[in-house]
Amino acid sequence: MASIASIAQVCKSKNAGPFFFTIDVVFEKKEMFERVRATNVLKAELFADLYKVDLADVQFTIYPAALAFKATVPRRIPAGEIGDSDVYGAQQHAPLLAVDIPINDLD
Amino acid sequence: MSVANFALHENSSPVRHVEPGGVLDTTDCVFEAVSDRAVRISGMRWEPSDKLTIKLEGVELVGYRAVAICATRDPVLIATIDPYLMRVREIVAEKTSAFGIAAADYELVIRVYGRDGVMGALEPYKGPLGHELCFVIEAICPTQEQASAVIAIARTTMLHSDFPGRLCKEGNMAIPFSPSDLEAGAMYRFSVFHTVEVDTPTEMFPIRYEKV
Repeated sequence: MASIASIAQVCKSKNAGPFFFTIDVVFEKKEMFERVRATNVLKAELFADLYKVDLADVQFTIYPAALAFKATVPRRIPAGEIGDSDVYGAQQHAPLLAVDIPINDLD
Repeated sequence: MSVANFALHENSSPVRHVEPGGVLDTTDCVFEAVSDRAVRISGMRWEPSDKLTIKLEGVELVGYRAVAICATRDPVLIATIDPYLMRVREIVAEKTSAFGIAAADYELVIRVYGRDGVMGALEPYKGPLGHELCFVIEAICPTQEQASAVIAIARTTMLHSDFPGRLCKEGNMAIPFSPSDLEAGAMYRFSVFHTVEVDTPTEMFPIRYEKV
């Protein structure tokens, strides 16, 4: 097993407009990207679970051109609205860091 | 690769880009490095739409905000922080009502940094808290004067309310500066986030020339 924090080059979040967070996990090498993709851990269901939203509300894209996985989920509180804690959405990535990817199980 | 990465930035999808006259689909895009400074991008598909659309964004005034920052280093208070904050809210409600500010005229937000200040309800960590907690308290009211009054009430209530096992009878909070309350000015929320169907791409953007 390997945590995303230990194998990804980038793990980040940001607003995609005022009503959505978008979370990206990017890998440096194509080989690692493909190994992670083969485990099928990074998928819409994972993001629905981590960000407590309905599966139907997760827009999940695998983007091989950038060796990236991307998920966009609705915010509970729109950016800048009363009670919002992260106006730019830049610190909502942390739950992903500890997600374990069983890359070695495939060897 | 770094060019392909731009497609991720602040976008809901890296491959479906909705534009005024259609959708740009970059699913099959190929990025090739031509030199150290040049990239050839090919394979984009353009799907024209029937209607031209323009996106509108706009905000409305919610009210005025005042803020106070304080922190506790008291382990007894940290251990009982949720009931304490509930009690603080009740006392603030009583005091503001007596002061002449109705419950409907203020919003009180208490952010607990060191627990879930960053992620709020999405915070997955449920383990033990650290040795100190920071509170960013926020009042939002129809006027700045009211917001400043509510934050003053909330700050003194955070500082001096009782809790079970309280030893720190001179004050529950470290306040980092004096004056302790900050006026944060007007606050806005998104109120317009719509698309408009137009007949021509430029009709909403008239240009008027003047000689000066």
